Amino acid sequence: MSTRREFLVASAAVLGGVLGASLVGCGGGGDVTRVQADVAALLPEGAATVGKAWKKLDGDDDDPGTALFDDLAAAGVDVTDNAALGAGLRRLILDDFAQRRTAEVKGWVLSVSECRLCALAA
Amino acid sequence: MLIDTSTLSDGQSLDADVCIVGGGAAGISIARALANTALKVVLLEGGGFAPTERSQELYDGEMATIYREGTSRAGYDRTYVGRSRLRYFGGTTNHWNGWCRPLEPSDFATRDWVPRSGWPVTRELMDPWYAKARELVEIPEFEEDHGYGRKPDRRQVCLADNADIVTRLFHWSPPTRFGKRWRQPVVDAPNVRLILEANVLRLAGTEGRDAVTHAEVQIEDGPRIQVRAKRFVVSCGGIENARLLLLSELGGDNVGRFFMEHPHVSHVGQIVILDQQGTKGLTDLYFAARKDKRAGGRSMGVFATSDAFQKEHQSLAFCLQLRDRKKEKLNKVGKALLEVGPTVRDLGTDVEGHPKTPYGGRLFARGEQVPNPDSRVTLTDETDRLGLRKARLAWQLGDQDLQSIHTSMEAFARHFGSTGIGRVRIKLKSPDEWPKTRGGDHHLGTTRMAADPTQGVVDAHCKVHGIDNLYMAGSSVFATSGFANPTFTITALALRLADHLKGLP
Ligand SMILES: Cc1cc2nc3c(=O)[nH]c(=O)nc-3n(C[C@H](O)[C@H](O)[C@H](O)COP(=O)(O)OP(=O)(O)OC[C@H]3O[C@@H](n4cnc5c(N)ncnc54)[C@H](O)[C@@H]3O)c2cc1C
Repeated sequence: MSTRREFLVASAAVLGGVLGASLVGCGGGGDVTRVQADVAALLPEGAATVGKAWKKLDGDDDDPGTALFDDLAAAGVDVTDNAALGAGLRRLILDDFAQRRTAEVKGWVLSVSECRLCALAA
Repeated sequence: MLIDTSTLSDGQSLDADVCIVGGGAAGISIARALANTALKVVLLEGGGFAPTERSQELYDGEMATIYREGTSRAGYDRTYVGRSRLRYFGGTTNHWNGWCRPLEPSDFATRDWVPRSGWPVTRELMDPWYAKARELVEIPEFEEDHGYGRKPDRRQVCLADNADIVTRLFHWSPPTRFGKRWRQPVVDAPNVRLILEANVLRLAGTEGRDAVTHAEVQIEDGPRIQVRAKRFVVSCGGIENARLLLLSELGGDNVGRFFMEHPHVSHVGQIVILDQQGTKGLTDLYFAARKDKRAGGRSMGVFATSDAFQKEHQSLAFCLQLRDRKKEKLNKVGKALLEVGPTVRDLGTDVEGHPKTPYGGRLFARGEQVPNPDSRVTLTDETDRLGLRKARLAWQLGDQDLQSIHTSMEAFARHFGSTGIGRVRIKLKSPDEWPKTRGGDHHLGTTRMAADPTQGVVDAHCKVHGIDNLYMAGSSVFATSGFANPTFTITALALRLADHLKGLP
């Protein structure tokens, strides 16, 4: 992967802007826990706010990270592949809305998967 | 021709083929359509060519808004009955905003989840009169919906319709002030006698109450006269139409019942717009449209729930607009979404496609309400200066009406999420608590149209059931309301009634 732009376009990749670029540096390998930690570290600050607010709701998961990555695995996403991870998360989030897997966080209707993603940073 | 009322004397009786009571959107449309025909027409207008307090105060009445059955709460606006209409030539079009859109075909249809839905006329049947009504309200032809951006000079709407949500167009009338714009053709018509400051006090019926014999008219500071006519058309607006029939003891028990408004919730939610596509689409639909209006443009789009969605979820007609942007105050999670949004938005995509910073906007909703016999206009014991009992309006909103707002908002939130356009905050309280809701100054349903006389007041030709020569014009005849503002439909119905009257022996 030569440049960030090439990476993003060529792979229709990863977790957007900063996150995507930084994950390139992660090398894309490692186990799921490490990927989770990498993702958490790279989420923008606001993610913690969303994640915390979601965690306060009844019915949130005990372990949102595992739940999220289980869903990705169930969808056949190779989470150690950056491009696949980004696209898989995006798909999961859009599907959540279409399939009514949503949560109301301080009035905001959010996808459960994006809440779980944000909870990684909370 | 304009009648000089100083030439009239007490007890004088005028004769006509058609006597029209009320010179607003409906009355003027009919008078204009009957102008220069063989029919002798008298148009009685309570006000003059200009507004006066003396005329306007005759509209004062009482108002209560009841949000849930059994829980009466004082009206959101006690002055509503008096202030939401104007009492002079041209009627309330003297300050209407000019939003025009026909009712949807589904609005006319029977929907088994909406009690008392279904008009005895269809949209298809109304289409030729909608086409004619465009001239009166001065709007262009309705092109395809979801096509705001089809014109080359406008940006494309990028929000594709899906199974649940559709885009619908309104056209803006300039707005046409009927009393000014259409005064001359009415005044110039040799067969139309326009009498201003002619307050109709009562319609007198035959003993069997199966026909109206004459209208009793008090000329302001002048004589009391009678107008005898073959046929009478009452077009005094949605509240006054009911009041006049109640004062005249005509039309049966359904008169005044089934009052409907379009419940407006101006802070129904917020949106954080994340997607460039959505940004373009949404802003085009409202803000670019507003700019367009200033530049002489004429249309604006809203988002509405689809017929299929309404059927599946047993919801009512509903539309949503985006209002403020950028200035909108967001809560903590909303602000956080502005930061998180781009990351989530750009997952797995080419970031170059999304140059815009996300921003927040306010969502504004307008819905339909179920026809409810307890939502009604009655008479108070208090009288106005002409000795007529005033109107009391109890606008009642029901559980299904509120439920529909919730269901529809949830659909919009999912739609904006699943298309990647943005995230919606629903600012509704619990499913049984009404948010701050107001009306749009639309007075509908009080002499509703129904084929079955037990379910309404007028038949498919706007003729009062059981009375041979009495017709109602205006939104009081609406059987249901849809989400569209009423005047375009009022005008179309008025033109259809005029054609019907022309064809009668
Ligand atoms: C602020 C505002 C904005 C609006 N914006 C829109 C909009 O954007 N789009 C839309 O579709 N609608 C809008 N409306 C509603 C619109 O103005 C009405 O739907 C329309 O004017 C109704 O027409 P009408 O002929 O039934 O009644 P009116 O226009 O109210 O006319 C009734 C006439 O009857 C006369 N009258 C009443 N009683 C008597 C009597 N006893 N004897 C003789 N004459 C009598 C009155 O003086 C009046 O001239 C708006 C209303 C308001 C208040």
